[in-house]
Amino acid sequence: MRIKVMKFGGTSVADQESRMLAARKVAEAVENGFSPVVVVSAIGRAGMPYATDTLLNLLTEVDPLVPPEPREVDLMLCCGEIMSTCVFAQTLKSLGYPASAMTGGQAGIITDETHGNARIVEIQPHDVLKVLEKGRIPVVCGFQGRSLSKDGSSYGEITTLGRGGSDTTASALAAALAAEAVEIYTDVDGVKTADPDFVPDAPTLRQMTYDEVAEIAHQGAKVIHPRAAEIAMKFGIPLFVRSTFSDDPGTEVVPGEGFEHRRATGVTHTGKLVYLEFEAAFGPDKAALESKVYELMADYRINLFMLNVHPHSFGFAVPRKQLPRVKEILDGLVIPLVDGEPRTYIVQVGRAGSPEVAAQEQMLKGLSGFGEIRKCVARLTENCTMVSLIAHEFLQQPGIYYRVFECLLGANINILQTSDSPLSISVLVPENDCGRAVALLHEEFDLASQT
Amino acid sequence: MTDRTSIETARGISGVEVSLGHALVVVSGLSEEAWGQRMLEALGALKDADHSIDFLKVSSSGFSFVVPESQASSARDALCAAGFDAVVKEGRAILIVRAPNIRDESGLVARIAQLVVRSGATIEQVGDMHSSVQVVVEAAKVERAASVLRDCIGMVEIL
Repeated sequence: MRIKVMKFGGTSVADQESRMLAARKVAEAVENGFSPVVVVSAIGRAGMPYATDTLLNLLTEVDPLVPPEPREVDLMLCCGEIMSTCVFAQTLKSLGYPASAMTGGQAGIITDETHGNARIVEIQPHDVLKVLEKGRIPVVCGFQGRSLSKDGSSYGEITTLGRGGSDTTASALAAALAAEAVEIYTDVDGVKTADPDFVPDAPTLRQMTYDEVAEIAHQGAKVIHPRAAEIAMKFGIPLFVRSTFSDDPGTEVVPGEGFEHRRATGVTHTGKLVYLEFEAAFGPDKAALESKVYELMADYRINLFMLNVHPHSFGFAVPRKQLPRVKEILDGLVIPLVDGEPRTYIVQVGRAGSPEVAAQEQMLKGLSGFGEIRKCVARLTENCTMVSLIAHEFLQQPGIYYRVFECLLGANINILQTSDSPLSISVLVPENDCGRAVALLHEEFDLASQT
Repeated sequence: MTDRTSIETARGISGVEVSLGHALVVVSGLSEEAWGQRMLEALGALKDADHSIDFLKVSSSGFSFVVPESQASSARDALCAAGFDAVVKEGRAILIVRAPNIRDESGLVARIAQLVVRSGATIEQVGDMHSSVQVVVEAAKVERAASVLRDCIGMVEIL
């Protein structure tokens, strides 16, 4: 049996016309001798009646002060994919192809117990195989599974896989079924060298490595989830990103071995960040303060970007939507240090101190035992975005940073911070300059010719 | 085709490696007014001297970067010849902390940083990619930091 897993995202199943196009892709695979296994996302995107966000809003709007339990959020969210599989299976039947809708649990997707961001621990594909053996097309709910109880004796709760969960479902099923390929269908022709909103003629990459596709997603491109690429890489399954709405061959994701590296692959952007730089006359106290700030950011699950350390300061960027939480955690935070002479730091977020900071300072000055009261000011740079050049092995060439700086500074784009890894160079720039920065770097590194 | 397949890498830290033989170069004394021009001159000097640099981090008064230890003097000389005040800190190591899909694990980068600082090492720079976080520390303290992080391999409770 030649199995191929075909995953269709929300826009590919948004309406009957789109579903029919998607179903014809599946029919074509059958006619070409494949036994397709279909994975679908919920119907449509945010704002549409059965989209994941819409379903979530139904719960959260009941009472904003009473957060829904993760278990019930997962139950709710699963409904979107269940409806989608039933409708898609019906669409296939209307074309004359027998199909069976299956939940993630029915398809044997077993996860850990982390509601909202579960990890797939194993796949028990026998029921999917039974459907295939009967000559039917399994249409499986993406994004969901069922957890195994702690002692492994029974199957417990419905879980969801978190961001990009349907891609992960597709790759995982392909791995378990030893599929010949996994195809991720979306509304663009494949992985582009840049966001077409900023570079309208950005070409589609015909081939890229698993590492590149994972990094391009890590740095903000919304093409395929890195977890899906990781699974495909681990099991050596050919992965394709294609459009439901065209016959373009799309992007093939291949192993890195023997691949021509030393090239720039794409320019991505991760929007809406705020940069915080912590400054104080730290002296030997810097490590203690850094440790406390990092500890709190970890405890409250704040995503840090572009961590940056200097002898007299340290800083990082956080998503703008997390800034209120960060302020709540850090503004007015009191860090007493008792080794040697007692001294106490008060963290102030933003140049202008809040009433909270002033009140803390006033109170501490009136108390004994806290020693000298010092301020650690976290200077905020708001409205930033991170623009990244994805370039496997390319960064080892001398002069890459020079080219990035010359290109952006020459266009009067302020570089607020930088970060790099073996796969990418990132610059933090004002959000208003994001589009220009993407387009300029795309041109500087000749990505238009990069396919 | 298997009936039961181990699929995903466990969340959290999945491995720790150490790379020795690096140096941190710190450049100070840049004026804020001419910052952009001076940065270009410095990066140009490094390019002309054929130096590839990693972990570039900027501040309003300077910048720092990492090069292989064997190239540190040459990089400093190139910067000094171009009129920059550069200091080399030799004996640096890079901790490579494997952690798949770190963007999905909110707080994990911060936890790794906290563990490194708590181990007694001073973080000098940090970089990240989809599957790892790289931390520059003094080589003398890298094994202790690596040991603390290795103790956390496979610990879902790290967050």
